Order: sequence, then C-alpha cells, then structure tokens
Amino acid sequence: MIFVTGGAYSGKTEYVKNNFGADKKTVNGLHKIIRNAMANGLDPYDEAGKILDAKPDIVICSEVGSGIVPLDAFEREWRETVGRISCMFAERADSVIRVVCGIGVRLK
Amino acid sequence: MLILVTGASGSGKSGFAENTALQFGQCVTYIAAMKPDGADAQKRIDRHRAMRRGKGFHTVERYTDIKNLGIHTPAILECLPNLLANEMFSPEGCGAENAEDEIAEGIRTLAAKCKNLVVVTDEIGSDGAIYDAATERYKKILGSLNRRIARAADEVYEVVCGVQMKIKQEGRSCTY
Repeated sequence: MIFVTGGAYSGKTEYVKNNFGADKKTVNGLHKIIRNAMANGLDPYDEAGKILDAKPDIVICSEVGSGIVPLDAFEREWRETVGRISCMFAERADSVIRVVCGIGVRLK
Repeated sequence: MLILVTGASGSGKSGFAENTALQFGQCVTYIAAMKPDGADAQKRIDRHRAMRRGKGFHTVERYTDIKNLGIHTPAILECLPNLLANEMFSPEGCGAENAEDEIAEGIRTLAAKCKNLVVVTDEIGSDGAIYDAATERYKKILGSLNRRIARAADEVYEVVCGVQMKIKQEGRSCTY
C-alpha cells in the first residue's frame, strides 16, 4: 500500500493519477471518511480497519493537524483522529509520500 | 532559473529565499507585494526591511499586475499569497475569476525578463479548518498556483524550522 498525505489543494489526487495510473484500487479522502463516520456515531477506527482489510493499493488523506487546536470538541477530535489513523496507515504502508506543491516527497 | 520556496509562516523561508536570490549577482530586485494595511502588516514589512538592510536589494513595491513590471535584473517575489489576495480582493486587482491565470502568466513573463527569479509562497492548507466560501476559493487558487509554478520551476524548496529541503532540482523531483 502507498499512503499519500499533504495539505488541501497540494495536488495529491493529480499526483497519484499521474504517477500510479487510474487503474489502481484507490481510497481518496480518508480524512472525509473519518469525519463522516464520526458524524454518524460510528467508530472511525473500525471504519479504518475495514479499509485496511479491503487491501487498497493507494490511500489518500489530507494533512489536517497543522493549525490552531479547534475550540469545537468535534473538530478537535476529528483532527486528532485523522492524525492517529494516518500514523496507523503510514506504519502499514510500503511507502509514504507527502505532496508539496504537486511534488511527491517520499517519507518512507 | 525559476526557484519556488515554500514553507509555513515563520519557518525562515524568506531569509533563505533572499540569500538564494543574492547568489545571482550584485544587483537583485526585491518585489514586495504586501500592502501596508494596518499595524500588523506594517510590523511585518518593517521586520523584512530590517532583515534585507545591507544585503543590497533594490526594492520595488508592487501589489498587482507583475506581468508589466519592467525588471531586467535577477529578482525575488515576496510573496505569492499576498499577490493573490491583492489580485482577488483589492479594487485594483484583476478579480477572483482571472487571478490564477493572470499571476501564472505574470510569473512566466517576469521570469523571462529577470532570467533568475525566486518566488516565495506559503503552505496554508494543512490546518484542517474549513473557511467561508471566499477563503476556500482563495486556498484552492493558491494551491493550484503553487502546483503550476512548481511544475515550471527548475528548483523547489520547502523550508521547515529554518532548514531547507530541496524537493525539486534540475526540473525533476529529487525525493522520489
């Protein structure tokens, strides 16, 4: 599995399309999946586990933790959870890429 | 040579970018895009001026329309987020609809005139916050511009805690 992270609008989707082709089993927007799960009262870690069990080739997740800690409890928990689950995916991934200005920087 | 320097605010990217631009010769133009609107902006401008003092830059203040700048020396453009905000939101700007193409074309034209151009931008999309529609549009356009300029650039650096990481050189990504 390749785990791709990076800020909003940094070019993650375009990078994946250009470098790995469109035929890969890709989960795009893990941060949104986590958010939806939490908003619907589901355990985001269970949802993350299901994604891992499906053995995707590529998982794309936005980096969301580099700002002010939000006052709102839900926003705070979401941000933290995205970070923790990203660590989990990165640990299991064969390679981890952080996209900056459309450039893939290999972290692992 | 077109060089793009990115990084978080306070990361030390301006100092690095200035020193990079100075390698291109004795006479380097500093294009300042920040409008002195309010005490906070003035403080930042003063800090940057003090940092540049004695380095020998020729400073040009330009808030919009960089395409028509008549500069034929190496230059540094500081910075893209300010330029975009001016083009999108100030009365003399070209407006949100045209800002991306206008700036991309402006940088292309300016780089051709200057021969060596360093562009400073900002990493603003990693805070997880969702803003009002106008700000989200600004974020999206800045992200898109960052990618366009990085694609055209010969070298791209990200500065983190004052440490520069070269992520593109000789027109190629150097970490993958």
